[in-house]
Amino acid sequence: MNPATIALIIQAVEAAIKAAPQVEAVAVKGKEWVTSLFEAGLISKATQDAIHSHVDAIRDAFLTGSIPPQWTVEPDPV
Amino acid sequence: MNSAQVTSIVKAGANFVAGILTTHGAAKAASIVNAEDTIGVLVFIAIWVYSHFFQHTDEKEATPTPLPDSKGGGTLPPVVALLFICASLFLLPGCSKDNHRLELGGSYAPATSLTTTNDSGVISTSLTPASAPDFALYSADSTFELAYSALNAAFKIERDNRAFLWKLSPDIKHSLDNIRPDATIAVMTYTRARAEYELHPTPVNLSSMQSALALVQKLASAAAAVTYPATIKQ
Repeated sequence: MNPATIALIIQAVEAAIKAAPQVEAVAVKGKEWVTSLFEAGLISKATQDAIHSHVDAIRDAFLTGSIPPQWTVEPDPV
Repeated sequence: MNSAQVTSIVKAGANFVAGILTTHGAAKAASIVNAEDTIGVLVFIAIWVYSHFFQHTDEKEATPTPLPDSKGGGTLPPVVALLFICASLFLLPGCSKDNHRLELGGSYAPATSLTTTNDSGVISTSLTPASAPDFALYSADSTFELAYSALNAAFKIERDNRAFLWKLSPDIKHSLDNIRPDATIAVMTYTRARAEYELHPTPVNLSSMQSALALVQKLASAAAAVTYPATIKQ
């Protein structure tokens, strides 16, 4: 195993660790959403308010130009 | 079918299983390590390492046919494939929520509070609907929130790991860069259509909002799909 390969593996592990919070957040949301599709029930006030306020926050951010940096096109790495 | 193709199928299957583990949680296995969402990531890392060291293309064997949209070479990091699987799961269309009800007093089922006192002096409070619950808006918002999260995660993962992903394939950044401006416009279009619908909840405005939502979903799928085909490319 050459050093370049080892470095690549280390980078891959680091990338996975860095990405884990985002992936986890999406996975949890996805899980909740899929579950809600197949389970009839009452959608609580708290759930409604959370979704509504989150979408409002996204709207406010985009309309005021506070777009998250990852949404903007940045120069290619050198 | 040559060994590379078989390995590719095994990898794709393993990716799928890992996605299920991550999304739904391997309840019992997760309870052991108390980190169900980590399991999928670890499985992907294992697959990636296995692929790197034990899968060698034999020059004498036929090369598997690349997928139509495959660009660049090499194996992309597992987290990107994970993202795709998670995203595709919650972007599944067509499921019904007909059996759901909105609790009164929530943002999508506004209510007014009525306080009464009976003859015994007991005070009670009840909620009466201020307007009809708007399930269409709730459904659109919840779907939008998920599609937005998928887009945001794809963009953030690429940005946070840009140096590494760039080494693997510059196409990842370039493809996401093509999506970023459209996604920004799509999100703004949706929020404007939503605001219009909230002011005037007519079928026309609902349709406009749903059209804008469809575009956000399409871009979310595209952001994930940009990266996935290469993960199973040998």
